[in-house]
Amino acid sequence: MIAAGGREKVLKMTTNPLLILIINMTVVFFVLFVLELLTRGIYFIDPTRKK
Amino acid sequence: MFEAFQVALAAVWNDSGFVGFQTGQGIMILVGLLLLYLAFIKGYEPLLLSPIAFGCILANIPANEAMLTDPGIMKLILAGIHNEIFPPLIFLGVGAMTDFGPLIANPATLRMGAAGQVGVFVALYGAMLLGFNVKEAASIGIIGGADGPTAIYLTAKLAPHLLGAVAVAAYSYMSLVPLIQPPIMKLLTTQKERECVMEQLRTVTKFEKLVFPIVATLFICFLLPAITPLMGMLMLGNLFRESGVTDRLSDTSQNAMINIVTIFLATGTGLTMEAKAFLNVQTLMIIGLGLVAFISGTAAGVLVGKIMYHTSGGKVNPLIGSAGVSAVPMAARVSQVVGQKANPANFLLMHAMGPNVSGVIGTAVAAGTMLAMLK
Repeated sequence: MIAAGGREKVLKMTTNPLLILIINMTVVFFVLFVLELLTRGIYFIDPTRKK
Repeated sequence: MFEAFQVALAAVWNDSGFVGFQTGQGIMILVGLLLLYLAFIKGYEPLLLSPIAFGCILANIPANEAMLTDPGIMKLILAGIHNEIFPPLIFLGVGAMTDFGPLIANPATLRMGAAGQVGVFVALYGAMLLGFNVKEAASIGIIGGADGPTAIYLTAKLAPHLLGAVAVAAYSYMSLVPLIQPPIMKLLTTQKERECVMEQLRTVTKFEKLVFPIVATLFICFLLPAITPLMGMLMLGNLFRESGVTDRLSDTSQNAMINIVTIFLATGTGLTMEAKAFLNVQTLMIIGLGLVAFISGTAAGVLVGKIMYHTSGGKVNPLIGSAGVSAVPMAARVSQVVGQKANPANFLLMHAMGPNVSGVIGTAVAAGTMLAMLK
């Protein structure tokens, strides 16, 4: 299979349920953790905030 | 003349549903009637459950296959589900109805939203152990997010043959949030924890309310493009709400439009409950796994709430963690009710909206991750 960038996908997607569980939980926690940091960042750059 | 009359009557009778009636259809009509009873008499989410119930009854009227296959409103409704049109429109309405302020004021509640997704992956794991393939297991797992539109969106893409069972399980558990969650919440918390009164949230500025949906859209959709229709519409609806200059769009999104789409989506969900596709062991397993998912997600949210209670020195009531499953705003209301029973001075609703909104985002992210891995 050819990926969007033109590189061939050499890794086959795992079907191990435990691995899928771990990968997905990691992504979900990572995304929401980064979103937490971004939300805190918005608070700090807010020019309308009362100091 | 009498003979012609007799032939015509016989033709009407032979074409009628009474002749083609099968036991399975009778069972599903009874299921539809039971759901109607729960909706109208018991008051379990009647806005969702009543169209699902009636759609189920309509789908199981015998000799009626043409209703679902010939051009017409029913086919259009099913097309809206199978082509993933309705879920993003529901998200537009949800975005317009929901105040993201509590989440922005206390972004730590995003951790509870992440924990609420544990149920998704527990059910995915369980489904694979029971013999479902990985795409089917992902579709079943997403029931644990208690987010009907996302469940339909993911299942239509990964395992469309399971759409009926998954949609019904997701919406049923959403309706049953007030019954399923309280015992788990009480089991995992102490009276002292439940009595914890949280401080009032800080005021969130308009700048934050406008920038958050834009930043969240850019970050999440860049990372997981597969859920752009869901996330994009959720955040667009919220921008309509918060901009202050698009009141008409906000009003339409959160009232007329979401009501119309809810009628179509819920009726269409019921239409997928045909006996021949629904009455099998697989459906029972899906409904069972959905319950496991939902219980696990609720428990994980409450446990993260407990951790935050202890790390914050008793400033976070762990009951708001159960709202980390989506089900906006029912799950937040449950936190409020259970919290107020423990301590009448407790007002947890706004606090619980933080994890509740993060649960919506978290379920969509979980769906996007699975789509990225499996599609």
